[in-house]
Amino acid sequence: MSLLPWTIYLSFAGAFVALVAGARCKCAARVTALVFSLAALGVTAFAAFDFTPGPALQTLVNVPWIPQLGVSYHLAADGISLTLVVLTGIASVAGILFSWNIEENVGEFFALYLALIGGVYGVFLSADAFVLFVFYEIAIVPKYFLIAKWGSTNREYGAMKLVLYSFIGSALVMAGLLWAFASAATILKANGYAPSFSLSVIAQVAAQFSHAQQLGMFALVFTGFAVLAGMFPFHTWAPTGHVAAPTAASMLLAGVVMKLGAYGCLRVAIPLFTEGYAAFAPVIGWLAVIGIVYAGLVALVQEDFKFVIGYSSVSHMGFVLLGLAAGNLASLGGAVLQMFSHGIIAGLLFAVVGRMVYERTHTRNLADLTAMPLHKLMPFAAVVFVLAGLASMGMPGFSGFPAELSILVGAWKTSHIWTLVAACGVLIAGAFTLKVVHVSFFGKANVFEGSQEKARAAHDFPPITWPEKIGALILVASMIIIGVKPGLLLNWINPALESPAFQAAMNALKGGL
Amino acid sequence: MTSEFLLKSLARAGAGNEWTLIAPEILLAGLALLLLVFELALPKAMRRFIPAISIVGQICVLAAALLWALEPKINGSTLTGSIFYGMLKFTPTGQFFRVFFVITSILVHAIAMISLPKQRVPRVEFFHIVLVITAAMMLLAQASHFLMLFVALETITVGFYVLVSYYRASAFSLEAGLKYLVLGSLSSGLLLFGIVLLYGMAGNPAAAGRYPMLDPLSYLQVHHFLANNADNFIGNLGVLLVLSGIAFKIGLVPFQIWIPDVYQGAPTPVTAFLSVGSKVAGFALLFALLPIISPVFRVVVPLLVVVTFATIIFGNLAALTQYNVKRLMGLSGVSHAGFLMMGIVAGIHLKGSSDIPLFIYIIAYTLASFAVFGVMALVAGENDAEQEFSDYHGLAKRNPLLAAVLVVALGSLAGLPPLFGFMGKLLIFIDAFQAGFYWLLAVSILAVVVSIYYYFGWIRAAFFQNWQSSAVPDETPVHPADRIRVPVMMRLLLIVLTLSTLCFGLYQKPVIEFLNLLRIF
Repeated sequence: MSLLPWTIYLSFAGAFVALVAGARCKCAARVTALVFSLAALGVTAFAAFDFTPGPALQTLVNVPWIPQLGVSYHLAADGISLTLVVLTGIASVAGILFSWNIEENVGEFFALYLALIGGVYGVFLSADAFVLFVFYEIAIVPKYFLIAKWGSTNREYGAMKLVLYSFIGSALVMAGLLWAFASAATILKANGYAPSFSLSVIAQVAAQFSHAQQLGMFALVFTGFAVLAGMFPFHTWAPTGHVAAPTAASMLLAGVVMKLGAYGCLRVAIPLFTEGYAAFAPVIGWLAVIGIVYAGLVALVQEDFKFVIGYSSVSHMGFVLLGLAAGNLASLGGAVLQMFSHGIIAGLLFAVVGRMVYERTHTRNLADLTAMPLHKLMPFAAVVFVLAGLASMGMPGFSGFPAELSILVGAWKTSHIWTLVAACGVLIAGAFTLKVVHVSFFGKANVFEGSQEKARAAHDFPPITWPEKIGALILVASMIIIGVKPGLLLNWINPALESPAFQAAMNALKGGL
Repeated sequence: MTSEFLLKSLARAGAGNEWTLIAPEILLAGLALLLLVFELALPKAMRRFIPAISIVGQICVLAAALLWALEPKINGSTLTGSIFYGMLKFTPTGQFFRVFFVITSILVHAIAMISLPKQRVPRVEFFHIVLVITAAMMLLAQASHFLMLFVALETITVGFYVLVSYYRASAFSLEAGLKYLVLGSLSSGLLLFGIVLLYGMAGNPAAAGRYPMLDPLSYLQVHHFLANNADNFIGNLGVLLVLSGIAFKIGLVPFQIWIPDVYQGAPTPVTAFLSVGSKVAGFALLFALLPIISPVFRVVVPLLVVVTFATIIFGNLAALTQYNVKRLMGLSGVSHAGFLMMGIVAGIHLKGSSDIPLFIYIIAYTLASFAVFGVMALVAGENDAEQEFSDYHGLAKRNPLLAAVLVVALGSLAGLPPLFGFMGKLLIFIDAFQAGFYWLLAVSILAVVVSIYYYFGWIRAAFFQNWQSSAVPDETPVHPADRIRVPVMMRLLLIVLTLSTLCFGLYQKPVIEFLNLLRIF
């Protein structure tokens, strides 16, 4: 366990080494990035075997950092953080495999990529609000460069929009956290304690905040994080950002960065400001189900392949938010599982669309794709996409199923209407996934009667490379393993949700609704 | 108490060693004269070393200033209180600013050594004037008498009249000089009128609670007058007029009108000097005057809060539409002044809160600003006034180091963690929270997001050649003539500034300990 912080250090070290190595040779930068991200994944795996699930956050490091403000560099992990760290490890390795073909400024690309990953690991492991915020911001800036430099369609617009949304979100978070810190400091001072940014200390003091303070702080912090989680109506950065981003960046964006927002909501906003949570949960629930249905409907009519996936991400993140809003053990556990599951599935979908299809056909327009019999031209991509699509639709046997089921079961206990609307969302997800599979991979296949060779000759696409195959296999395997045996993760997640902080939040919600 | 203090002061003056306490200023002024002598006496080939000589000289002065600041002793006993019959006063903040201005001047020299050779202008006079202004700034920060204040402030202002229009072949520079002259005189007039009003009222022998032995121009007498007559109309008016004069230096709304044009027209090193030196000199003055005008806070503070609001909003919104980097730095500097003012009014409200947030903000702003101005001086062509975003296209390829420095420095100015600028903003925001300025905070946090937009616009120009049209690919290799050569010392300086912005952001303890050493808590 105590090795977990090394995921952060390895990523930042890898960023530096990749930058230096990339100046000499492109291949060195790629290999460096892969080695460092594999090492981080290895550390995670090692820690995971060593992990005993329990309700408490297990401290990894705790040293004073800025004593005047009571900030300490406090890293800790419980089942929830470990789940997301594992997700980050898998997604980062796959992302590097899928960006093996980057030729322009390779060193810089992987340096920024690993810096982003390091920030993400940091957020998932922070137990101090200040440290969490700093890592959160570290994860934002590299995204801008990744998209604006290596992206495609309308990249600078997409990058700027994404960065501004992220910063507006983090400005709200900062306002809320400062407010909580300042109010907590007053109470702590009155009782003879030093001020503190520690999440657990603020959570203890927060019970004494006035009702108005609780509401205000929760609204600020939750909204701020929810912007990054793609909550309706603050989701519009996500599709444009995803579309503009290079493949690996959209994999990370949908796969882990959106989880940062959801994780922030779960780790900071909900346990700290339980009264605010109880008051706002109905609003969040409605916004979540509106998001699920609305984004699904928008995905249904998109012309651009990547936009379909972008909106599907928003729709799936709606389930996470619904799980958070429903606020019982089943729904919260489902929300965390859905974060993991969506991270893998969205990564895979973006990999197929951005790397396998777009890099070869140079179009993402569904009308153009339908004229090519892609299932014959690139059967591997077709198989992977169908698997990912099934998982995304919530087919049993894939990770999406237990997650969404658990959320819906939990939500049913809280509100029947939400559950019914969200269930419609599942149907819509099925509809747009089937539509896009049909149109892109199996459209007008009869145009090319005859052998695969003939069809391939007509379009002359390079074959799917090994890094792509391995990356896809890693993601498919994790998707299926968790689908078949969700207990692997739920055994970590559920004990963590039994901690006093989450119990208090759930109880507050029961009283409030 | 007062008579005892006066007797002590007289005794020290009698001992005749007081001048040693302002040795740094005297040395600096002497160095300024020496530079002119060198220009006359040295053979032509040697004259290009004069700026370097000036820097070495200033490093010695810096050492002296530090020594005096850490251990202010005269005739063997530790010094508190006034010297020169109450003209100057030793305060921890005054000592900090004394050290600060010498460092500022050294950095301005470094930028000038890059910038001046690109123009056909005499060199040495420039450095001479910078040194004189610096000495005046150091005295200003320690002044405890309105006469001293006015003389020091006018020395600074007159020096800047010359410096702003130093590139006399450029219409922009001349225009800027004229604008600065007209508006600067106006502000000096306001300041002087305020001083006269205060002098008149405090000097009234019938005024209540007057110290008969004290000069009515000294801070102490004015303070006592205000303390005893807090609702005297003319006294309040005088304070407001004095503050207006300071607001002009700092660039607070509504006295910020001159900033964009003057910053654009002034030579780059002068712009740097204005935006750091002159602005901080205004703040140093404000720090010294705040305890003096504390009896009239009831009137002044609400006004200052409104001004702070307006400054933060105006600075950021106006900077949003700028594509000229000098104007951008000027207007964003206005917003930084607003953030600092927020810290000051919060400090007044909290009574007895720490000064450290303000100093951290000032240091962070200085480090980042000089890094940016250093990059600007290196990137600028012959046309110093028109440095646009478009001049930065492809900077990442023309010189990756400069681009990296620019990112870190602008990130720090925007307040991105984990850079030093973030810590400054954070500490000030926490103070403002505790003081209960929620609306001000809401506006400032929005302003930070706005500032990220325009700072990122600049970064975008530096990294992406095709920022205006996405159609053109930026694959073209860099023409060798477009590469920017950076002298070794300048490279070293930029790296030091950038690294300290980065490291102090992560670990502020050395800075705080240094401030504590200077008795700032």
